[in-house]
Amino acid sequence: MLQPARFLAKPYLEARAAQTLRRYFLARPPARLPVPIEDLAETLFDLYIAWEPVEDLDDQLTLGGVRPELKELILNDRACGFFEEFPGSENYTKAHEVAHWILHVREPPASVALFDELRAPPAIVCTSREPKPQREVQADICAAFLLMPADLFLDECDQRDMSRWPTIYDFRNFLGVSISALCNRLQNLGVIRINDRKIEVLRAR
Amino acid sequence: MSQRSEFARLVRELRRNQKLSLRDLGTKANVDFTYISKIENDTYVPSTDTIHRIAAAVEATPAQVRRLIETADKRREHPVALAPAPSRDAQILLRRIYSGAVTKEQFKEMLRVVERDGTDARPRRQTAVARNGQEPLLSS
Repeated sequence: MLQPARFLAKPYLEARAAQTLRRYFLARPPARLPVPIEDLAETLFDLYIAWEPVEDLDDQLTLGGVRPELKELILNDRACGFFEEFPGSENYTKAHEVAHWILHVREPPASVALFDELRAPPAIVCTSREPKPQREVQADICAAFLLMPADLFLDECDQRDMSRWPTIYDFRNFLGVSISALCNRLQNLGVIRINDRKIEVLRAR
Repeated sequence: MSQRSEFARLVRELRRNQKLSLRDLGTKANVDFTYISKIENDTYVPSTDTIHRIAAAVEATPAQVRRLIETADKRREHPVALAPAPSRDAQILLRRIYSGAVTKEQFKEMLRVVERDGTDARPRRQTAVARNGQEPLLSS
């Protein structure tokens, strides 16, 4: 049901995210940010968003998971406090689970009907633990590409003054991502450089 | 794949037709959005009052409201037999089975062991106790 763990290059992860977004925006135009990831999950993959209590894994708070056989994208009820404390983390977790679905889930085999009467624990469980296993890193990267696709992202950046932290925090709220994910993306795309909390703008508006 | 009840599917369909997210519907119906998720995933069947609030929020037609109430009643009459929460070890095992980490052969082997334990394994354990004088292990 899960693809075996394997190396996936960054350009491949970006291409899969871009392909997913193209399909979504064709179904739900216009193409613009923020990406409504919950609607994308339901529209493209017919995934069910399931809020439920999930056991911790290795004493780490579980944020979400995927239950492939029921096409469920799980969010942990018990992580509500975490999601409130860290703005963007809920949306990012959803994107992360969608990325798992795109990258790591194969069609469920018929044999899972063996346990039809049991609501099995999610096959993929995601926590905030470090270091992250290979699949988790891939899902994180792909989630960033899903929520911050380069072309739309740069268009939005051009409309903002990225030299100010309040603008960056507002942008984070707008996109529904974590501040670290946003700063990584801004730096990777050469929009800004951050050094000791000082912002240097690299891209002219 | 397990089939969700008609009621659960109907709630989701009506919400999606109105292009509402779980949060949107939760706000409109004055119900916690995680509760809406549990309704759509067949964990709970709400009260008739809550069904009416959800129906109003998704602008259901009178026929759709009637269908919601009928299917909710049907769902209450035939509750999903919820198994007791599996133990931690069982959860690990189930997670591995569901993730495809257990091959068909390994699964057959597990069944074979379970069946053997239920029939002829017990006498062998007794033999072991007699041999070393210690309590037998209940699981291997």
